[in-house]
Amino acid sequence: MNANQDHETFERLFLPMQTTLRGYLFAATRNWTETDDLFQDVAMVLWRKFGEFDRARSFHAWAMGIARLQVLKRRQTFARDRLVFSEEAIAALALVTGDEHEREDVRLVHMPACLGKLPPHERAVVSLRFEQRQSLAEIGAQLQKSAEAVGMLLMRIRRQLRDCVERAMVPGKVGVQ
Amino acid sequence: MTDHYTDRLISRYLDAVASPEEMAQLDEWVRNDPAVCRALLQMATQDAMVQTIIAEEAVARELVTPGLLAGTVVTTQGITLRQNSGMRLQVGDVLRPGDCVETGADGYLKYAYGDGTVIGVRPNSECELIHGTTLFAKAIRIVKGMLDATVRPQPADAHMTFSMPHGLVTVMGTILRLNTTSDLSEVNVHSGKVEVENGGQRELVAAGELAVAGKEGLSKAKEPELVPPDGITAYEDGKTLLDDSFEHGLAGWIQYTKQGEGNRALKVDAAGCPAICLIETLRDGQSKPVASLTGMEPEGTRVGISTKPIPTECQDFSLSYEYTYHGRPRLAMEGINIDINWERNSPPFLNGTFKQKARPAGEWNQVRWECIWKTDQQGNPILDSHLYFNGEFIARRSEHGYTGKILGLVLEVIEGQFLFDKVVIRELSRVPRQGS
Repeated sequence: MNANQDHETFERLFLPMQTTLRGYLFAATRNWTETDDLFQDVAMVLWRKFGEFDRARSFHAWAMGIARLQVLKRRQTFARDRLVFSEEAIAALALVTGDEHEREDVRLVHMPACLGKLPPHERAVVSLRFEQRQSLAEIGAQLQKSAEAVGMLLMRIRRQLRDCVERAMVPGKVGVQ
Repeated sequence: MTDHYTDRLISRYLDAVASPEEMAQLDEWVRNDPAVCRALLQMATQDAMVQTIIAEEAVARELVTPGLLAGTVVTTQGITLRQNSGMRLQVGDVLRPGDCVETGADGYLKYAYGDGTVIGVRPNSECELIHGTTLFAKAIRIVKGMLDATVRPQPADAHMTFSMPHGLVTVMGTILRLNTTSDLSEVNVHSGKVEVENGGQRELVAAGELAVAGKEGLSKAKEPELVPPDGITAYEDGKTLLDDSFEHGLAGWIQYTKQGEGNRALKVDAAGCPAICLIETLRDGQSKPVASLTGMEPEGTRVGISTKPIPTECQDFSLSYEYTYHGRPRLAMEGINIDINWERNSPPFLNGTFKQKARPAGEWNQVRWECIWKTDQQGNPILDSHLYFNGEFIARRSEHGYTGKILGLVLEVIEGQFLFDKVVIRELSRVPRQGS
């Protein structure tokens, strides 16, 4: 297999798992900057080691194994200043990604429409949290709410989005209701 | 499907507010309960999706019609900075979401979006253009100070929003002023309606109303009654005194110029001499004048316009006037121009612009014009004129050899609508012309 074919194969295998990988990295770090950095690191390591990958095995399992090691490596740094999951929990999370990753791409298809259904004030909170990456306290200060109230609102928004996407994924249904 | 408590715990973890105890609890569940493990992964992945989608939308925003979300600076005075770079802003500069504008004590900036929406940033203010709640929505975050906004009707799903320290203002199409201090955020609506949200409480604020949001919550009231300064009698009527019928004359008034798109009128005293002159100007590009002058006559006299000619003996007097106005935000923002006219159809003799010196809406401003007749060594008349604004000297001009008559002040709005709440004019002095 030449370099071009390698690259194409890598892309074909890696692209479908990007969403799950980012989700896993965020679940393990709960920090967008760490997630972005780790995502780049993992992608680079995967590409460098792709020649060693046994094509008879699951690419997803192989890639998540590498991702888990990268998280653990980085964990030593960020564990100093915030609460982090144990190594066992990080491993458990990597394991369950295999159950979900095919569904995540379908979820992604429906997510924009579900986001569009949020009322303006909830959408504004989503924008502050996910686009401007503000903390709950910062959002609360802007909206004259307590951080606790913003947290509750975000939880409700997450549930709404999850339920909306789940409904849209029910076989036979077309689009977001 | 996980229960409410688990979802809350996961959400708190993802928002980085979980306590050590909650963290330990979640860690244990993740290690031992695949359902919780999957729920956490699913919610984190969902957050990642939302983050990706919103980031892509942000990129798309940069590519959509620039006029929609970007504005062009049309006026600057004093110090106006693009805070991100520390560079001074100039007319023609483009402001986009992410740009922060800061004005100094003498700074004023106005920028316009492609749809005609205009934002004025008053002195000592700071604001940031931010991304709105939807792809095409304009949004501004006001950090401090005062903004004036004329918002054109926006698409139904793209309301313009102003985020203030004490609330969120959602606009459809209206003229409003937003003011924020460390304790309060105020929204004053001149026309149209806005929705103000503060701590979950929402109020629709209509024209003529003032919403105040702060730690105590949100309140709404009619604009407070204005009390004129001591010694000034206010004549508030809110009526349009000078419309097209003005051109045909009103009793007690004389029309002395009619030029361009404006009408001008002069009030004369019992002898038919010019006593007070206050004039509307603009038609604002419309077929009818938009002026809404308030009364300015001495108490007990009639208001009107007549076509009576000005007697020649009136030339023997010079007049000084003081007028006090309370301007709507836009007027205070845009300033006024004072022309002193000498006779029918004469060009402006002396004018001054007070854009930066106007006090905030809600306070009275004072314009004072003094003119003194003198004679030079050859016995020729000199007219010495001074303009003051809020006690500050603005301009002076001496006219030699002029023998014409004084007709008074012309109050003229440079741009935009004529938005006075009240105008009060009083005569300060009537000085016999030297040598007459």
